[in-house]
Amino acid sequence: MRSRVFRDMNARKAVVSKELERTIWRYMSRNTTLEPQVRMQAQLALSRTPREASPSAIKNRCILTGRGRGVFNDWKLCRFQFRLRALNGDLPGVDKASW
Amino acid sequence: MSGAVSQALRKLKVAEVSAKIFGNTFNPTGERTGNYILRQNFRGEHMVRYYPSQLDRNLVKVPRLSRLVGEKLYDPNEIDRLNVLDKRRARGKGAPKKGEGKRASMSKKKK
Repeated sequence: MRSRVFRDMNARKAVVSKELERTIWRYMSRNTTLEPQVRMQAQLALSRTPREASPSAIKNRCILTGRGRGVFNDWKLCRFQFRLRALNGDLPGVDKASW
Repeated sequence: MSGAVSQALRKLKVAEVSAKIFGNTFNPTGERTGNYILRQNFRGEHMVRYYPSQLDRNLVKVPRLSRLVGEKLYDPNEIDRLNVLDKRRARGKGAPKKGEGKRASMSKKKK
């Protein structure tokens, strides 16, 4: 397994564990009816949470090779593995175009 | 003029009461309450399930599967590897035993 994939898996776990906390901080920091000081503290707390716990830090990688670019999200495969499998007939409903 | 103002105030009050009755939010100034964040679904559980689990990954590998089953399964790759090792050993190219390697013999010479 590639270390990048391992890192991504850990990040996903971190997202789950910090999700509720982050939602609360986010709600408090965006709520303009609260006092500015409270909002400021919420924003600081949000920025103090680990970067990997943010959902935007997560990357969908190829589940076979761990490639980070050119991944088809519907199959979770990178373009080359997708091609190999599609030509092999492993992906139902996928056909090589011909006209 | 004052009549128009009082009428507007009355309308606001009516809106407030009606919001209370029907369970709607009353926010005439349009302040940002951040409620949209609370409305969002949690998607972490879905994100964690992206990669196949460790158990599935290990089951794919035949040697580990055989360890679970308790008996050796047919693994062509493993047989090939052992054949290659046998050939190398026959030519005298196999791995040295413990204490007969390059480093071990060097340390023996020093003494």
